[in-house]
Amino acid sequence: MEKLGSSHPRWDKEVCERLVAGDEAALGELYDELSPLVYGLAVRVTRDWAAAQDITQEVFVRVWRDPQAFDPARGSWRRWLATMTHRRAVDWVRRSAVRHRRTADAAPPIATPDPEETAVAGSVAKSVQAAVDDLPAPQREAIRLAYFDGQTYRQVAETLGIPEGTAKSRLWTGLRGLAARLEAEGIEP
Amino acid sequence: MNDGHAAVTELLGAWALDACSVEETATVEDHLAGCPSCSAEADRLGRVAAGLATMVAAPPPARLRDAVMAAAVGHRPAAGEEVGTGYATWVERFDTLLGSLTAAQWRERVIHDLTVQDLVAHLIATDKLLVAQLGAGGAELPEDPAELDGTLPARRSAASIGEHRGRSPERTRAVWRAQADRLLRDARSNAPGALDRRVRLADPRLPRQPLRIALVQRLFETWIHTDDVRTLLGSPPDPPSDRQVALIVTFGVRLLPAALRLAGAERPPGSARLVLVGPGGGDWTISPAGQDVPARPPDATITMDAIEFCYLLGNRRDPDAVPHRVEGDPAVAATLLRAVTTLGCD
Repeated sequence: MEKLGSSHPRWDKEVCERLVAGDEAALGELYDELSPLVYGLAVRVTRDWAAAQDITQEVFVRVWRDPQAFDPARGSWRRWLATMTHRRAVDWVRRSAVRHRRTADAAPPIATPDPEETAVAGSVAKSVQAAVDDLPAPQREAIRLAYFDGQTYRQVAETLGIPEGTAKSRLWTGLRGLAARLEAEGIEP
Repeated sequence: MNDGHAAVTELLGAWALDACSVEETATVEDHLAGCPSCSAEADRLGRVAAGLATMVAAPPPARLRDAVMAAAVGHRPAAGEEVGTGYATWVERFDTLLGSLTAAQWRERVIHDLTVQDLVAHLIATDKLLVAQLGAGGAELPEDPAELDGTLPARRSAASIGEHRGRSPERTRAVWRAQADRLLRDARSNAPGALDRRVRLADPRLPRQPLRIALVQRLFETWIHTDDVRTLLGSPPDPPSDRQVALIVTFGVRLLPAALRLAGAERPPGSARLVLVGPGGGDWTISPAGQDVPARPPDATITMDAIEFCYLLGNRRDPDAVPHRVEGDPAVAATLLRAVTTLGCD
């Protein structure tokens, strides 16, 4: 039987309606479909298993409590959950950086799983990965530090030994390059 | 477009990656609200940034699923569980308690100069508002500007109290009980999805809420009046169940931004983190805009017991005296705690 996946707008809308109606199974379905995205991102950014589990729980409880905050007309569940998760993960990194100054090499390395092995990733992850791989290295590195390590653009500038203005423009140009390429391929990331 | 346009434009990439400072994030977001071209660009970049997450997907530990589902349903029950059950429980308990009162006890003053009979007459008036909406054949009541008067609940209550003073307490009790049973019947017999139908709350100035939320308010008010009478009789408190506390707390947190706006704080009252400890509690960030994504650190953090929050919500606690702890801006915390007390029903 064909099952609607997380990349279908119709699935996004249906899940939203069922959540609003208080259908617990819809939350289970959303969790099964997208918890690898939420948890994987939280682990990668925080490099802390416990924090990543807390963030995952917080994100899904928030969705259940107020599903109407999500507007299917403005994007997919995948985008909404990734945005919420990233904000919370970055928030955690900055709070814990205040408590005890972290250094990049003090954190345990987290292996990036092969996108082909993960349930959520599929063809979108492959396309995103390919687009990222094809970015000029300085832009790719800046985006990696900002998005996956949770650094501010000032920290990115410091890490790379470049002016802040250059860091800002590498992030901007890099994202625009990714957007243009993915749009040209008809990929809705 | 304002003078900050160019500065914001060059921050958009960093902003989409959550790589700006707290102040810059606020500047960008303020600008986006009024600039369609930046807003479109921000949306495009935000979509790509979120897409990066697919590269690092990794399955969580298997046991996390149960924890997440339990925590979720603790905050908002699934529709499959009878949402009226909690309300029905408190109707039954209040009725039993009223049935045990002597004629003299019915005449004793219980709160705000009201006798027990007055209190039940007040409850009849607030329940009635919801009954009238459910009786409207499933249609939403049209907006009527006269209904948006904040003094309306008090006037309705006063009229009901006056009417019942000429009656026997047993009659008042029977009228209340019959109406409560009708409310439960109507709420339960409606078509699927009916619990999501939006209805007016006791205070007509608050935004309309799904029926399931309005029923939580009925549960809450019936419990608090049961508690009032038990206190009068010197009986030990009979608190709501953990699940019911969670429902009441969710009701309060959901309406707090609206209460803050109604309280008419002269300046934006700032954002606050509310940490409610004990069964039924949780952790929320409340901002006047009504959003809960923690874009910037809260101006104040308030920690208190979930059950004490319920009493505060019923205006049964003094916001200054209720046991709580504040970190951060005390003025923001005080404004929020005062707003909580306005969400009760009297």
